[in-house]
Amino acid sequence: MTLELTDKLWEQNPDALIAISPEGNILHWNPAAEAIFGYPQDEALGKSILDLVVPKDCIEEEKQIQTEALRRDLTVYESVRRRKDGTLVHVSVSTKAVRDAQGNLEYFLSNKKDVTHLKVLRDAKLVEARFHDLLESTPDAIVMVNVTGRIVLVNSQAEKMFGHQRAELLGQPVEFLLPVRFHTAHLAHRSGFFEQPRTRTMGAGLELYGLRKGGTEFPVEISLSPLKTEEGTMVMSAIRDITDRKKADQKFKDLLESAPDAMVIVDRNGEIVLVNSQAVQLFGWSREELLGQKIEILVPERFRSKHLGHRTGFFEQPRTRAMGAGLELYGLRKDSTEFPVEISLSPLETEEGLFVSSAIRDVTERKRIEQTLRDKNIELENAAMAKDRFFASMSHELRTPLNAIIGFTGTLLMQLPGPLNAEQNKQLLIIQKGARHLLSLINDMLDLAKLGANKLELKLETIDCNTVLEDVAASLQPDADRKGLHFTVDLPSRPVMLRTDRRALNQIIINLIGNALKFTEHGSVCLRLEERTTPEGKVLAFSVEDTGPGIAPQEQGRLFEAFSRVDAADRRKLEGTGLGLHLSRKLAEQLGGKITFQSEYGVGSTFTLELPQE
Amino acid sequence: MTARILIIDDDEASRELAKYLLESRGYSTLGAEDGRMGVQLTETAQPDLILCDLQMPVMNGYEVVRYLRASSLWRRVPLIAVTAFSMSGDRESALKAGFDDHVTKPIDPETFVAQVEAFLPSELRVQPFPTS
Repeated sequence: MTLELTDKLWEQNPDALIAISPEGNILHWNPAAEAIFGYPQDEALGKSILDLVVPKDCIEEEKQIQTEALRRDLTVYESVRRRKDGTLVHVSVSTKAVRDAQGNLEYFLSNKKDVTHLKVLRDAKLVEARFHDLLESTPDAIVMVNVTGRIVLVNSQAEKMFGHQRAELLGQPVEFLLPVRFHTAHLAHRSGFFEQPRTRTMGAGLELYGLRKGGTEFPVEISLSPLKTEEGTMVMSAIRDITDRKKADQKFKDLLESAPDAMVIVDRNGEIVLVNSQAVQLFGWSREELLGQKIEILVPERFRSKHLGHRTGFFEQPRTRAMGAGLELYGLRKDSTEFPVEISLSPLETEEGLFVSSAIRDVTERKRIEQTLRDKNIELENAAMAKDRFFASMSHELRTPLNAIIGFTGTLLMQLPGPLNAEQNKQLLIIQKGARHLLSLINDMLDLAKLGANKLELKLETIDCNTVLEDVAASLQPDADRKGLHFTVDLPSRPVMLRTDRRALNQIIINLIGNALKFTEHGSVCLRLEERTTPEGKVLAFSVEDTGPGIAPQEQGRLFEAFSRVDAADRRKLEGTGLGLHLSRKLAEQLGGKITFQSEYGVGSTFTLELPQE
Repeated sequence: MTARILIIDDDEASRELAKYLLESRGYSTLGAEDGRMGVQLTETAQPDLILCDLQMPVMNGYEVVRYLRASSLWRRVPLIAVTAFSMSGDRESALKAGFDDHVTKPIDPETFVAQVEAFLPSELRVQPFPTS
């Protein structure tokens, strides 16, 4: 055998040929080794074979192979080795200890044959025989892989889900069923799983996708279970297409987003599983920061321990209700500021168990408005009190100087200091009249002001209206006599009892008769009391009829306005304050009644006070 | 012997008016311009009747009546409130506080003296002129 041929054999050997020094360093590395393990020759030479291609859990095994080879000069072994990209490869290893003439170990020569595919076929045969019937009967798609990540079994649900025939899948790396963007991460996760195999859900909290033949993706949920066999550990993945659920979830999320309030959904452990953008905005945490956190992150420190208890209580007796009825609730923002909230809780039954949905409303603005209203009320009460004091002071201050004016005008007119001549007497009478008018004005204004401030207190008592009217008529009779008017009183023959305020009734009747007497120059004034039945019920009608000038149609509209005395051109006839009818109407309203009038210009007027009989 | 009447009022014109009306009738009067001075004059001059304004500086009419009604000497002296307060309830609270009567300013000069005299025992009243 020439050297040339030897080289060629070395170069062309379909299996990896590796020479390893007694210390375990790589001395030779043929092209097939490069093809199988992914390391070019210059990267491999001089490296420790253990570091380069032997997985952690196979190191002991590799050492044994060498010991065995030393003892027997040749061993044949099947095992798993690691590629440069981290994936595993099944190899059949033949190792020979090569010795020099003296019989000392010169190097190991290791021939490694890639038997991954053969292994897959063997594994497939094994699991197929053992698990086929069982796996066909489950509703989920099942994909089983061996330690090299190769698919060794699929059930028909998986064929249907991924759109591939069984033959197309067997022996493929499982990444074949994933979108390309997940390949690298999946490789790492896969070797991680084999290091600590236990049944669990894949990628908790992550969105997982499967890849169908033809390139379309679909959302999946995957649970992983290790399966120990005599051919090594396999992994069974049960895969569920959750496209429909995602759609439902999406609808649910859309619904949450459309809610006016911040919505936070928590699970039984009080962990946040879903929030809407309103919640993100309200609390200042991002969605990612909130998901998975305990709900107490949104509760001020001092309420947290109590909240925990309430939360547990709610899960024990879940029903839709407002949180903490009657309590002041506060939310906590990321920046540690607090704000008042109102929260309503609803249990949410799902396939994955019981959740609680809380709708949270920031009531800062409402609280502010309520506070403003309270402040305003206090302010108004203060203002009302100030107004009362003002009325009292005004009354006092206006009356005090009038005391001197009216008093000394009186002493002069009484001629206490000495006799008066006719002109002095006349002028003093004018002063006296003016002063008395001013006093009436003050009294009426104060009454009006009290009415306006709703400060008039009615003293209700049962009175005989006939008696009241007779008294009023008697007190005004002298005024009628002075003007030569015929004053008549027409009352029912029996007592007419009414529960009302005597003073207010008096004031109204005096005002109405006073007006009639004031404006009537000739003829008569008649005061009448009748019981009438109106659409509103039985009423007492107190009417005052005169033969005065009547009220011009254009004046009638504003008759009851303050200071709207009619016939303003005829100033010299003006008496009274201009407040009488205005005040009377207000008083009548206080008594639950009203004042109406009928008037014919030039013929006379009738003013009627109607008070309800209970 | 006619009565001596004390007029307590911070408004000078009101004091003058009452003084003039009462003296014209024949009574002697004393004036005090606040409650404290009124109380002191009561102690020293021993008036037979007191007219007292309600709103006054230093010591108001309510304080005057409380003080005098609490003393054994002045528990029975006729005390008449003369005040420009005329809001509803003012008369009631004045009577309740111990005043014998409540007269509203402006007073009626024609009836005022008679109103006051009504609270004097007859031996202290000015006897009517035989002609009137």
